[in-house]
Amino acid sequence: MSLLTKASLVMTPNAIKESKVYSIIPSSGNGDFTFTRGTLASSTLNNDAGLIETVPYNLVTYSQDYTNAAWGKVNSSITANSTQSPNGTNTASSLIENTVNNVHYLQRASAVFFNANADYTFSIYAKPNGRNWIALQITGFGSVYFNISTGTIGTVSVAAITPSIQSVGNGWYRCSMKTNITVDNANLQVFLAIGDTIGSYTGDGVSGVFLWGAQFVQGSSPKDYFFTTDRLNVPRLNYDTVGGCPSLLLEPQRINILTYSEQLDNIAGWTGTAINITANSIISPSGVQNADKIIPNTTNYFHYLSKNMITVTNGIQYSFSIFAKAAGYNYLLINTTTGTSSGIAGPLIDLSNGTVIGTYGGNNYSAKVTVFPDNWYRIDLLLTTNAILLSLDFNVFPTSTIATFSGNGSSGIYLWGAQLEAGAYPTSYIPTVASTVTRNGDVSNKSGISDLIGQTEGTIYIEYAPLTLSIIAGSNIISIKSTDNTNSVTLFLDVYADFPHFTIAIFKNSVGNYYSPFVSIPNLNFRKLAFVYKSNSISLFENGIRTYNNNATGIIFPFSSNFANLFLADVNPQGAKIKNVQIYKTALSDTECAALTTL
Amino acid sequence: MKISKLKYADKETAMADLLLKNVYVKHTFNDEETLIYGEGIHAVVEIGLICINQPTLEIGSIYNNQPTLEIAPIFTDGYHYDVMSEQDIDFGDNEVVVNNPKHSFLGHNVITVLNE
Repeated sequence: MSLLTKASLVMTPNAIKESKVYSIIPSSGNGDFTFTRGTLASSTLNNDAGLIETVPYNLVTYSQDYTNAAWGKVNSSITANSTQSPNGTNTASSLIENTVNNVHYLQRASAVFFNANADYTFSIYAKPNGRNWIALQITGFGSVYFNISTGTIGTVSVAAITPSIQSVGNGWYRCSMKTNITVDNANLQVFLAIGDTIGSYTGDGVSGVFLWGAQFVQGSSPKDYFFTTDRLNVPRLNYDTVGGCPSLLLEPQRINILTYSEQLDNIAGWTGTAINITANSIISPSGVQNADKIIPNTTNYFHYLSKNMITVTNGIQYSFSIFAKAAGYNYLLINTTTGTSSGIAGPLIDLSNGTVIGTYGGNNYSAKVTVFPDNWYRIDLLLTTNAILLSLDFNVFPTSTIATFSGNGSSGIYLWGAQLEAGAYPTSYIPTVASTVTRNGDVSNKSGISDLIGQTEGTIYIEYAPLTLSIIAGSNIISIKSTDNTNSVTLFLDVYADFPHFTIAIFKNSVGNYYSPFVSIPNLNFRKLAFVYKSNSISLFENGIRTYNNNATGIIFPFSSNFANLFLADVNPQGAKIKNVQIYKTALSDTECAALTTL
Repeated sequence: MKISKLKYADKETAMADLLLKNVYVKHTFNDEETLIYGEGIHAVVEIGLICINQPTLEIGSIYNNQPTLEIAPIFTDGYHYDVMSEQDIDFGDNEVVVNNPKHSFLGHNVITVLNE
């Protein structure tokens, strides 16, 4: 019999929506985790497209709530929940014309374009409700008429638009238009029409269409529909291997203090010395043509782009990262005036193969290179500041040993996505423009599940990988707590004795005891962990082996208050990737725990 | 969700007020005391000093191992924080309105405009 039949809660992060990570067990939804971040975020390397994209990819807020003030109704009205939508729920709205002789439309004003000069696709599901025609329009970029009774495409206003219409059943069609957007702001509009190109007419006050599932995405396909409200609390699924299982990415709060992180030609943010900069020269790791080219000029000198005099906190660690790609020259020196050295002091990276080949000045700041598609590399380094100001230079070298030279005026290096964040390791990319920008920490938990948690004994299982081993003390991984937080059982990462290791903390009436195998964690690999608690016993299993067991009489259960809440990485979060969480209301046997945690 | 932009005389004054208002709360774990967010707090961002000019180094000085300031930084008075919270918190005179923010939360500047 599978151990899963004993589990009271199982969460594998395969299915998500805004503010929620679905659990497999229980199937009632009572075990679904809540998720909050409060800001947008970027995907990491291994999303399904291999691109750095905004999460969620649907850039439209309130994608099926057209009563929201974000959607304007012009000579028309919206009635929510009017009929069954394509997904079978009663969530489709009706757009009804009024009686004026004019255009009648739904409008999403000032739609969010994060990158101009890129392909975008606008789509919406539509079904006749007295009117058989609609037109989609992106203001300034053209329109397309659709017959949603016959499923045919009508007039397309400009050749740059690629329209499509697809039947999805029950009279519904998904209408879409793709075009290249060259500005950073435009309106998305859905017009009612009484025929091809007849979008202005006298309405009858009762006719219209049903609408559902508006989506606006970067790229040339409409993508699977992703429901949105405010877009701020979408969990991120990370894939470490192609075709593998995703993990829930939980990153701590970080702030990118480099302004104009993509606009390296902006003189408010960057300074060039003996270089020319060609903006938007090539497609960046985001899939958009917005990476800049740094081109040494013909002056016989150093050739570098600088971020001068950044205000930082003295004496702490900062992680710097930037995406780079060879463009005729292969060598990039990243130089900084912080730390114990200055001058030409920093790692030298060979962009022909993504290797750190050495340093100038003797400090490579623990430089690392991560490979991205299309010969892009993300280079990151770790600095410790020794002042409240810091400068960064990006020098172009023609060879690994020549620093001063005359450029040929065309060869150079592509750069994109610079980031400097306080912390011991780099996190996902945070785009900036004129101001520094914070991505809040990811928070996921489940409250009110005392019926799913063992009160007198139990087993907690998690498949988990840390994002760093440079941790601060007491970085929680998973925890069960009473509602008043006075009683808890927590698995956390600790650095007591100066090496990272797992520890279990048991708090009773706010008094804690700690139990650890004191085995150093050697790497950032995924590991399967289970801890078992019961009266006068605590055990920890890791990858099939019992690494800790204590049967001391001081470990007492039950507590006076019920365990009711489950938290992931809630205190001193240092980041985590989580593939699986399971709760058992019983203390599994050693054999069962070994089987559960075997890789 | 509310975003409060705060200005204090210095970091010590700021931390005292943020603790007083339960923006930060003290948390003891494994005999070590740390600060964690209070109930309803989604983010606290320590912006610190705000530089209002562009300081520069003398050209080439960093390549002589002698980085030398050409233009020294000028900081506004005060020590700055941004707080994102579910609840309204009365920060009194420490809450300021800014026209040219030096910091934002990812997506919030845009979303605010869109929802107006």
